[in-house]
Amino acid sequence: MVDEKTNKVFNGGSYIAQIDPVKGEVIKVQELELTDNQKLGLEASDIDRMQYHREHYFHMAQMRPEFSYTDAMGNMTLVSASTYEVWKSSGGRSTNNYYNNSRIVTRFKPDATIAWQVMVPRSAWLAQLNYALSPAITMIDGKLHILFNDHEDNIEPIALMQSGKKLDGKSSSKSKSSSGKAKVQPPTDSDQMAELKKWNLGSAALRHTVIDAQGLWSVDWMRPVGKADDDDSKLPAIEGRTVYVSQSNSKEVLIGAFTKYGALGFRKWAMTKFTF
Amino acid sequence: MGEQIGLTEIAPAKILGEYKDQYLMIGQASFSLATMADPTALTLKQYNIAYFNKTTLKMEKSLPFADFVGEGTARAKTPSFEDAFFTGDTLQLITSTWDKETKEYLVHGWSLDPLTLKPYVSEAKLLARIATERKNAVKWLSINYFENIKRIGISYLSYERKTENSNITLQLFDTQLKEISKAGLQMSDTKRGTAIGRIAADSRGNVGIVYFVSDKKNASSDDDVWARVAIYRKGSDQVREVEVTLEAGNPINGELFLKND
Repeated sequence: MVDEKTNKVFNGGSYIAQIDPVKGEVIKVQELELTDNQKLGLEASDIDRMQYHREHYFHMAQMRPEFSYTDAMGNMTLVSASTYEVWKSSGGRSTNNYYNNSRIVTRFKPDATIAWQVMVPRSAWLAQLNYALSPAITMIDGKLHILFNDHEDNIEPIALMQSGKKLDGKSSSKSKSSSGKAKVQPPTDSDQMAELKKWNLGSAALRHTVIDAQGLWSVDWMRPVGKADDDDSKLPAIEGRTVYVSQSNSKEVLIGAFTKYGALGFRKWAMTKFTF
Repeated sequence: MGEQIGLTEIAPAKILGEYKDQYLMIGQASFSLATMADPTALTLKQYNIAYFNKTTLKMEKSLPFADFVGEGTARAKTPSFEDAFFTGDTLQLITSTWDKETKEYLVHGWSLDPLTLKPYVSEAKLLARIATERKNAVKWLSINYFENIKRIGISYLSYERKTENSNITLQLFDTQLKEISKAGLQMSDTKRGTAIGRIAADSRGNVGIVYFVSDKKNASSDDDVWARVAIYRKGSDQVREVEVTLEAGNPINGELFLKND
């Protein structure tokens, strides 16, 4: 039986193990742990409104790795999304994992210790599901670029977050997790909670987040240059799984896209091009 | 005969690259079907390759590849796109197909004319034949083409009902679909494979996966699951395996990252 106190307990963990492939030895195991504010942000932005909320509690199963890049010095940048298993109050585990739409960016030093963590908050609601199309993620000239569909009403709260001002009266000053372990603090207030409007088809703006080697982040807002080839289309929504970096110009990135539903209920595809 | 009642979706799956003055992108079209015998709507998925003008990004044509890999239905053999890449004037396409009768996954490589999708050779090359009792074991089939090392990597978990053995295999192919290496990962009599992560590669030619083993007798329990890492080192012709033990609990899932300098 699950009591109320265990509700929303993040009792799963994620670890990174560094392995020497020549000696066949584990060099270091490092826990990937979120700050309390990051946990709160994840809960508030997406999980609360899941339909089973009242009957279930959530268990962070893992940080699902989505992108990694290791530079010549051995610094690794990892982008991951947290996933949740849903446990029924009557006992038993859900068959599905639920994905949180926010992304956690973690920078590891060559010795596998964490240099910094930044949360890129995101909220989406597609076809009545807590679901979003994948972000497009690329590393260009040592900077991480994350591009995804967003609601243009989020421009202001994101700007406030970037300026370091408090949002909704909630503090970001906590430095210890519930387990008492010291947390890695990002150099900005990027893990503050923000009440973001959910992206959905038809409310398309593109949020472009750039994170540099020190974990400092900036945001600008973009609109796709490409256009679908039929009159039914509206502003395309990018599908980030289809990122293609031009062979002749590494700053030119192509991304596949959905168009909005057309007159016949179709979705059609398009391609958009960005120059970073 | 099925009656097509609606094209519901074309989902972009991967931008394959640029060929001459076009970008090629593969996507999956979903059709809803109903039949007289079975009015329940089925979903038939079909892959198409779309050709976009490099200058205008306008889609100029779209070709299905079902014509040569064979039509599938929702209940029998449905070829799935796994990966594709260019070798000069050839588009190499990797598909997987579930054979319901033999309970096998078949992984094929197709050498195609990129502009017409006509096969250069009449027969596809069989890259892997994977025995599995359950169709959903496809989630443990990982196939990738790695541009940085010009290799196709395939890893999978297979299952034999008679012996109750679950084994994990790692295979590598070059760009001409020729097998370079095949390694079965080590299981003792009391251990069995339970899952694998996605295959990964670095620029030096090392290829690896994270996989999981459990006690054979206690396979339904989350307890006593071990994570292992298997790395094929280029030039050594050996697969080295490393066991990872976590103090905090048993691993559920994992991915391998190799340094991509």
